[in-house]
Amino acid sequence: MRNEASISPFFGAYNARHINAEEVAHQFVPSSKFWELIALRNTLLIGPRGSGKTHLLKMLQPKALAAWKGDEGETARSKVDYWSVFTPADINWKTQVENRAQGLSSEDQIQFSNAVFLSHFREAYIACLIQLTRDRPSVDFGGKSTRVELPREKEVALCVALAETWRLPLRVPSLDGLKLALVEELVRVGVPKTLTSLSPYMSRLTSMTVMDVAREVSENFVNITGLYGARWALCFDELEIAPISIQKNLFSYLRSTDQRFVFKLAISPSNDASALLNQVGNASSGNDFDAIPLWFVDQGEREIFCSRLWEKHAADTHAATLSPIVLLQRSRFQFANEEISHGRRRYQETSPWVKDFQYLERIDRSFAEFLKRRDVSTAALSTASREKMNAVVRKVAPLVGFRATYFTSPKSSVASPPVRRKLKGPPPEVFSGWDAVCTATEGNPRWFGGIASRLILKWTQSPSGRALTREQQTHELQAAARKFLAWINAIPIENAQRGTPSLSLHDFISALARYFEQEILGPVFKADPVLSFTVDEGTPESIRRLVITALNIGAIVIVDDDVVNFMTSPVGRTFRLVHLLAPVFNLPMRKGKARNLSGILSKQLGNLDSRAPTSKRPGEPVDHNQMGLFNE
Amino acid sequence: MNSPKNCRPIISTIAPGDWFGSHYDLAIFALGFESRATSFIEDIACSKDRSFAFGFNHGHDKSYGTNLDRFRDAGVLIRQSLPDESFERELRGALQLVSDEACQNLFVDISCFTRFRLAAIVNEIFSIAQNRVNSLIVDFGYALANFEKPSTRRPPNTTVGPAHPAFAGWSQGSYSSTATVLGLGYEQDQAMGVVEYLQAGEVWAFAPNSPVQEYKPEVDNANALLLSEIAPNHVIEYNVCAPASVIATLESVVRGLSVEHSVVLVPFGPKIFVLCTLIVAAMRQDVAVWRASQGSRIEPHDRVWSGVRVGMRLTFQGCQS
Repeated sequence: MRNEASISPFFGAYNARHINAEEVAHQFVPSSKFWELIALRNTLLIGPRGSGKTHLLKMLQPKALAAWKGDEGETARSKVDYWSVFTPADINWKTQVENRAQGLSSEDQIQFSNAVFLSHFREAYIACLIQLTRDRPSVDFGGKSTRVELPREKEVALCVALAETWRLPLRVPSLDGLKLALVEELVRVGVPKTLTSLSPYMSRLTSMTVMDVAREVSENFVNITGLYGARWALCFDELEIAPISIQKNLFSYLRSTDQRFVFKLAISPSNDASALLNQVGNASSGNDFDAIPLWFVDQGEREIFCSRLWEKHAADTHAATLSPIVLLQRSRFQFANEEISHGRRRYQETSPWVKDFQYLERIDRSFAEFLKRRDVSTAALSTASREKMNAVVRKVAPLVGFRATYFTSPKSSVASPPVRRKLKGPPPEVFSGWDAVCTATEGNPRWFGGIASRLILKWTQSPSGRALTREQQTHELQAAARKFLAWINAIPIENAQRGTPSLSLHDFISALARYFEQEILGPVFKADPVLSFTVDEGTPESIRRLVITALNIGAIVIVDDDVVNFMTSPVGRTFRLVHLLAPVFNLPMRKGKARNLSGILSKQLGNLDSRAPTSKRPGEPVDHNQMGLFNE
Repeated sequence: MNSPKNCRPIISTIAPGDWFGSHYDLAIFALGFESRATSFIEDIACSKDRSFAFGFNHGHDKSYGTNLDRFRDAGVLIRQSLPDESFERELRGALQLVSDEACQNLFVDISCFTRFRLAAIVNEIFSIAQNRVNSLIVDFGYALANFEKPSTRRPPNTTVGPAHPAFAGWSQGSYSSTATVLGLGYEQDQAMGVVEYLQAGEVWAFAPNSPVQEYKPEVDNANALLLSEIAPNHVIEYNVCAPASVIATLESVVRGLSVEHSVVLVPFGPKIFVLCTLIVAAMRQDVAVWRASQGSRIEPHDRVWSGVRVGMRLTFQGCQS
């Protein structure tokens, strides 16, 4: 049973890897991605860490489906036509296996890692059978789709048959006994001297494949139960952590014609496995499998998902009956837009927008000149022509508000550039409000859960019961950004050659952020600032790899319109920094125009030749449509 | 870690009088660039040709030259410019001098060894101990450094992983989520970064109480965000000068966590805590000890001895008897 004291800190508290199937169901909020996932098709879930891959796969488990209360649970159970085997992985486990195998020859290392992984998969398969038969939720909504009646004598027969096939010593002939025997076998592998003389159980596994293991269990199960129509979804989480031989196995199965199995694979957007999948002759997206990217392109869909996540976190608290907007208010800029939602009156004399325009015009000569060039008068914004309103006023309004928050008037003469305010932290006017929370978290359930739960806790502890202050909200967003940056800082760099300056992921992100900050808060007002980057041919290989790493951990987001699929190379693709980092780097939460990456980094870091040869000169900015402060 | 559980030493905190009064059959020092590297040299009586100072293949500046001279003057055998791989081989060679014909006494000054080398030392000592008939007594010495403001320019990590392959751990019960036990240091938000890196499901933190008072506010400050989110009963203050007690507490926490988790110890902060985590891991078979290292990219700066020394004794009773 979890309690407040045992919940891990940070985003880990909302990491589905740490919770059991029943709790997974209680915390689950289905997005449209889930309804795509449950189809009886091979599926690749593609997303960075925290994007909900584990939660989605764990929800397919029989016990999680059976514990899912409500109409949506009913719908899901009626549509899921298979039983799911969830196989987890994590970096600590991977490290243990790699280190244990270190003393072996390279061939033996592969076989050893393969065998350990397959034993792990077997254990997951048995866990699934236990969920189908004995390990049921406390309130069981599941019907036939999630449950199998398995009399004790049949259970014994199944376990004995499997143990004999596997050459596994079995002390207690039950599914739990079988699982325990598998655990004990792996514990024995932990003793180094056993590596040179593997047990018959492990030796047999060294030459097997995922499909061999799956068929063995499935066929024995069918023989005993007579359930000839049984179909299985084999779900593998964090596939990039699995041994490469297993990854190859699994990708080849995406073209499998064995009707008994479908594969649901969760993987980060780009890694070595991408190349495997993109090889000629391999499975292709749309034909052999569905690729489901786990990030939101549509802002409206993201907000709906965030609202539902909020409801889930607020349930059983005093905030349960209140909308998040009551607690957090609207974001300042959003509020200004909605105060008067139509027509020119939004820019009437007393509106906050007009005040921002007039203030910035007064303190920032470059902005005043911009307005003059476009023949826009801040005294008459509401009477600007429709064309001017669309092409100029609305387009720059969020940037004007952002810049006005950060600047004050120059001390010497009005001809000087405006002066940055001395702020103690990110300005609460910008980084607060419901819209800002949704945008900053990008609809990433782990980030959103971490921030929303802290905000709800703060509100429930507040005796006044009023909305949380903007300062409180900004503090939480800033803290979340710092946690994320701390993680980025911990990620080890690749080994660079001696004498070659190496760029850490943190340095890379910071260099980009400083460039974008100058675009928006530099001495000259820019109506179309660069806030995104396109990876060009001139980008050194080492930096392309940093781009991939940044993408996989969720520090950057793809913003071009190309088909989202596995990415073997980032060249030609356009990205922006994740909005979660905006408060610590003083960036607006919007996409902006894109510029070639090599050009940005040359400016920030100097000559990139020392990092790798460049083949082309940095290109020109790439145009993208400008949107609102919190719009994508 | 391949040491059997029954090879369990008796652990005690020792005072300067204990190492002043001892005669050692083997002594091991680190030849580094910090001036505290030689703070034990004059107090340790050791058999002739049985004292070794192991050098590094980087960082030959600051007090390196002075240390080299002092070790030479004291008759210590120098093994200069060793990469880590060679260090293990040389260490093993030195430890082979420890005979099993009678009880033997070893001294190790841990002050300037890296986490990797400390792990290699603990691993070798436990390996030797498990094959001995006679007792083996190992005294570890640690010279606390004076306080210095941590550098604001921190080079990127080159390694985040087990301190040594022998300390990678091995999950004992099925697939289990990771629990992290941190030792807090004064590197800004570094402990928190590793927690996120490991995606730990449970986090405990050990915060040092040092006789050098200036450390505490810096440690609190560097870990403020982390400490604000860990339940207060998951934060344990420990006395840097009482390592035996630290090991007892650590073991207790690890024992509790390992029922449901794969435990990873991540010791930032003083080397004496690093040693405590390695010993706990060496006595079990399942726990990992991780490090976050900047390798040779770290800027060398001298750490001067504060005048405080801490000692810990492991007494192996002869595991083969």
